Parts: sequence; structure tokens; C-alpha cells
Amino acid sequence: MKKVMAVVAAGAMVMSLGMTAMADEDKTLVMATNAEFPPYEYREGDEIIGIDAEVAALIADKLGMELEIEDMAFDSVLAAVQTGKADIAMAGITVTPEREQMVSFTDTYTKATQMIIVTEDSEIASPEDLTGKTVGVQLGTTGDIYAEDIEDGTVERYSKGFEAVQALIQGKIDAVIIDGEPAKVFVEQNEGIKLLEEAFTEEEYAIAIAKDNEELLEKVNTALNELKEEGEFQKVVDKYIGGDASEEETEAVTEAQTAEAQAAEEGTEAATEAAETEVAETETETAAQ
Amino acid sequence: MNEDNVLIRVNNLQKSFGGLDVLRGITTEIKKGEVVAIIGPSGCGKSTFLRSLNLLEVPTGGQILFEGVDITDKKVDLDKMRQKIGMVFQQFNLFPHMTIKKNIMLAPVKLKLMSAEEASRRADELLERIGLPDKADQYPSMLSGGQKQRVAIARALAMNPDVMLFDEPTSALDPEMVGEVLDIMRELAKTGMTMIVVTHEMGFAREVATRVMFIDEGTIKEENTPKEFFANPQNPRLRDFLSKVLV
Amino acid sequence: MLQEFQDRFYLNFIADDRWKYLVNGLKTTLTVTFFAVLIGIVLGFIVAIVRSTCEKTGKLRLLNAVCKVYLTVIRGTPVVVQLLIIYFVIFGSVKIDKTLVAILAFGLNSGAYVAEIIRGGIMSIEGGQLEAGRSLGLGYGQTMIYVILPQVFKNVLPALGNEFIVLLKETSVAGYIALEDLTKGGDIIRSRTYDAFMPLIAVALIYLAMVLVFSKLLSILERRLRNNERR
Repeated sequence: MKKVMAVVAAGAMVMSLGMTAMADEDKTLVMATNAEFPPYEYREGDEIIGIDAEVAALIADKLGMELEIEDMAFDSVLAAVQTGKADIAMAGITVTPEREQMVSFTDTYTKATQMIIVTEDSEIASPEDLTGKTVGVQLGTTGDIYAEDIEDGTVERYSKGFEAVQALIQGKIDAVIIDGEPAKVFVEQNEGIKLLEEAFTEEEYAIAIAKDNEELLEKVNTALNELKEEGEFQKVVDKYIGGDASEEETEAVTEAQTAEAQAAEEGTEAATEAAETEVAETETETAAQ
Repeated sequence: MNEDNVLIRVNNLQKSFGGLDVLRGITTEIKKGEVVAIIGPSGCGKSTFLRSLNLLEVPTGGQILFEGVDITDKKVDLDKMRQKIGMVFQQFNLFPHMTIKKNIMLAPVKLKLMSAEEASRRADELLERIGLPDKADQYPSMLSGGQKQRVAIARALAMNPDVMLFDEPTSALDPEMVGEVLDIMRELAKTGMTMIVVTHEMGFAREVATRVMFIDEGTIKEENTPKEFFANPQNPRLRDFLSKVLV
Repeated sequence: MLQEFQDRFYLNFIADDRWKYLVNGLKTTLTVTFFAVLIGIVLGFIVAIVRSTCEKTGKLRLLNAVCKVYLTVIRGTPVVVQLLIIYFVIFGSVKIDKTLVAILAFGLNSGAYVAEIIRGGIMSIEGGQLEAGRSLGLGYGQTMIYVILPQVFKNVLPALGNEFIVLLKETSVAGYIALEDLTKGGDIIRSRTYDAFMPLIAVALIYLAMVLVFSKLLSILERRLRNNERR
């Protein structure tokens, strides 16, 4: 047991060292993202572009800092913020109670949906039809987390969204659950697949910041809200998302309060909230020990 | 000459490696019960000649008739013929992963010539004969060079061969072990076994062989009874060779 | 400190039964490794024998050429790429069990390395052994089976063991085809808890434990084989 603790202590030391090293670089705002998620962040040539990337650049401007984007696997972006490897994480990150335990979230900036992609000849017509099916998701995305709740379903977790779509086209899986915007792009670019009208879930994106960094949280929130008020934010969104339908779905959420109200209405959110209280309870138990 | 007595007949045997002619037409015959010692300078082709007799070297020309069968013919079941031709190597080539007894029993059992019991009995008999009954369950790495070579002889004898080929059987041995191997070979000769021995042991050739053969430059330069061969060598190269080895 | 450790341990492994990701992943890793090793040994032996027979006797030229292509392709490309090709190209439009795909990919991959190890082992046995067997009247195949291969096996055992340790660890890329092996199990926990330390260290420790156990078994087997000769 002593040995285990020694390993843990060593690990904790390495991590805290890493944090202090990062804190020195005041002039750069490091953003962790996963640039495989159009239109929020993706690569065009050598550059990482997209809604998140451009909004982050505008925020950095307001803070008088230089933006630096670190591209990594989606399941690593929050860890990067937690361990101080990045200052903010912007990767179409949905706010969930579980994630809120790990990091702080800014006000939400986009409402997004998890959509279902199926083959054109599929018998699946609504989320209810997914019972007992094999569903492909991108590991660590909200689609992945919520897909676990499908009755008798099998979840196949791909590292990249397009691989899940590829597997769908090849008939290896029955459906793909993925964020609405990239889903549209995938369906546009591939023959033989379609989007179900009814969304799998709806959720909201926010920027993640380390729990102890309240100063930055406040600054980013201020900058974000300024951008929304100035209309700069909507300009970026319009640049990437054309068409009426999508505008409706990605309409900017200006008040954090509305987000909470909406969450209460949604079944899935409520369910996870219940799970949250459960976790909270068990945690107090362990704390008592 | 009685044809039935001829065990091996070699007709104009040739062998070349790449462009190098090692055997340039060897013609001879070996009769049953003969002990033929082959001597010659190193690189003269004597080992190649011996190894050709069971086709470990494939001749490039000529014929080898073993018990009347041309073994250079591709249609001949070579494995069957080799069962009757025992061979002892300079480097012993015992199987290191098997006990001494298993070394001796392997071929007769796997070739279904004997049952395991028969082979075991035969192995005990042979080990007794070579004076190593206590080594039956040991592995080759535990034996001295001389002991290994004695086992190698026993292993070849287990197949009840019609002829035994020895390829410089004592050359890899420390001097003090040469005697024990030659003793076994001497006794084997007394039993009437046909033997062809490539050797540097002039004493053995003189004393045990019924015929001595001098091979040089890929041909038989001279062959005779040991007495005549050593007392009255005709070929100048043989005389030169003998003057060097018989100091 | 201890409290924080407990909390994180709870969050990563106990909450939501997350330990099941590791246990199920471990099962998959072991299944894939075990069957891939079997395929690797069988395939490796066949290829090695074809190759060394051709080198020693000049026979089996065509088969030897096929084997050479196989070795070149497998050893010249990364196992991840092979895995992806088998899943997305060779079984392009087939619904196929992913565990099977992984077993095939890693088995094929391992076979190439095993083949070269065994071929090296066969070539390292002195020619006198083959000659001794043949001179007793044993056929080429019999000599191989009773004389050469037992010695080869003992000589290459350490290298083979090493290859299987490498294989066990290499299966960690199975997650690329969304197969939930041990590494992917850890990744899933990571994606849920956003804790890098606990799941990764746990996964690493499990691999390490497996390798240590396997190495121990190997050294016991090696010692036993060696004792055989020096009793």
C-alpha cells in the first residue's frame, strides 16, 4: 500500500510541476481542441479553423493574449485543462453534470443536438427504433455517453467520427449518433446515408476552464458575452453555418439562466442530473471515511 | 572375380563445386568384408568421395552401384539405401537434445524397423559393446569427445548396416582419446564389417585395413595391400606424402 | 492526499461500475492475444519451414516467393495500418466480428516475425545434424521433426517469448477499429471522468502484471528445457 501511495505522490508531483510551468506563460491563451469536428473545429491545410477556433481568437484578442491551439483526441481535451496543459478547452463540449465536477464551464454559447445517421434503406425512423441496434459513436462525445442508455444496444466507440460513418456505410453498424453539425456535413458528403429528423438528444456547448482558475473564467465569460452583444459571435456562426434550419438550431444562447430552464425540461438531462446527485451522495460517504 | 562379393561399385565418379573439379573420375569397387583406408593430403577429395557413397554429396557424373542398385538414379528410394550405409562423422553429430540411448534408438524406431523394446535391447547391447552402458540416460554434452564418437558408431550400427563409412573419425579428438575409438573400429573390423575409413591414422591403416587407397587431385593415384602400400610406394606424390606423415 | 486518492479511485473504477470497462477490455485483450499467438506460431512455422527448405534444398521456389512477399509486406508496414486495412478494406462491406478481425490482423502480423525467428533458429543448427539424420535413413521431414525442430524450439524460446510479449502490448492499438480492449477500456473511463492518471496507470499496471507473469512462466519453461540436457 505504501508503494502505491508513493507512486501516486510521484504522479501528483509531476502534475503540479507541469502546472506551475504553464502558469508562467501569461501572454498566450492555450486552447485544447479536437480538430475533427466540423464546423466547430477542423483542419483546412495546416490551419485549424471553425466556429470554436475563431471565437477563441476573438476572446484572446479581448484578453490581450495570443491564441495557441493544441490539437488532441477529444477524450483528452478536458484532462488538458485539468492538468494545466491548456488554459481553455473549446471542442464543441457539451455541458454535463459529470463534466461540471471536473472542470468549470463558462456560459453556454451554442445549442447543439446529437443526431442519428442511418443508411437510406434503414428501418430505423426514430430514436425509439434504436433498441437492440449497434450504434457507432466517437469516443468520449456526448453521443457516446448517451448512447449507453439505449436499451439492449451495442455501442462501438470509434476514435474518429468519420470512421463511425465509414463503418455505417460498410454495413458494420446500424446507426451513428453524432453532433448535429458534423452529422450534416457527413450526410452531405456521403452517398446512401441520411439524417433522422428527430434528434437523439439536445445539449449546449460551453468553454471549459480549470476549476481553480476563477479569474480566467470570469474574464472569458465577460469577453464571450461582449462578443454576443456586439454581434461578432453570430457573424462567425453565419460564416460557417448557412441555411435557415441550422441557424435556428445553433442560435446563440445569451443567458445562462435559460440553459438551466431548458435542462429541467429535457428527460435525458434530468436523468443525468439524478445520477449526479447519486454520485454526490456516494462521494460524501467516502469523504466520511 | 565373384560378382556377389562386390558391395559397392564406383564408375568414373565425378564431382565439381562451381567450377572446381574435386573428383575427376574415380573407379573402384569395394568387396564385402573389406576394410578400406583412404588417405591423401587435405583437399584431395577423399572426404567428398566418401560422402558421395551415401549421396550426402550429389555426384555430377558417373555411377555408384550399391548392392547392384545405381543410387545416383533419381528414382531410387535413397532413404532406404542409406539405412544400409552407416556413417560416422568427424564432428560426431550426436543429437544434443536426446539421451545417448535415444540417439541410438531414434532411427530404428522411427523407421519402424524395430519396436521400441527391440530397439532398447539393441541399444543396451551396443552400449555394452562400446563400453558405455552407464551413459545410457545421459545427454551428449556430458560425454568426452572419444565417448561421443563411440556412441556415434553405436548409433550407426543400430541400423544393422551392410557397410560403415568413417569420415576422419578421430581428427576432432584429443590425442589421448584417439585410441579408444580406434579400438572400437578394430573390433568392428574383426566381426567382418565392411568399412571405408578416411583417416590420417597411418598405424590404423597399416594394421587394420585390408586395402589402402591414396587419393590425390581427385583421382585414385595408388591402392594396394597395406604392406606393399607402405613398404613399396610407387607414385611419387604418394612417396612425398608418406615422407611427410611418417616422420 | 489519501482522501483524494480514494475519491479519484472511486470515481474512476467504482462509480457507474467503470471497472467493468477494464475487466471486459482485459478479456478481449487476452482473447485476441491468445488466438493471435496460435495463428502466429502455426503460420510462422509453416513459413519458416518453406523458407529454410528452399534455402537448403532449392525446392518449393514458388511457395518461397509467396512467403517472401508476405514477410516483406507485413514487416514493412505498421500493424495499425494492417489492422485498419483488414477491417475497412478487406472486410470492407461485411459485418464481421471485430475480435475476429483483430485476431486475424495480429496473428498475420505475428506470423511474419515468428517465421523469421524460427528460420534463424533452423539456420543456426549445424548442417551436421541434418546430415546425421539423413545418413541414418530418416527422410527430410522426419529429420526436421525429430532432430532439427526440437533443438530450434529450445534455442528460439527466449526470442519467441519476447515476440509474444510484444504482441500482447501491440494489441493495444485494437481500439483503432473500435474494439474495446484493455487500452480502449481505459480510454473510455478517461473520456467519462476526464482523469488521465488513474485509468492510464491502472491499464499500464495490468499490462505490466501480465508481462511479468508471462515472463516468469517462460523462464520456468526455459530452465526445464535446459535441465534436460545437463542432468
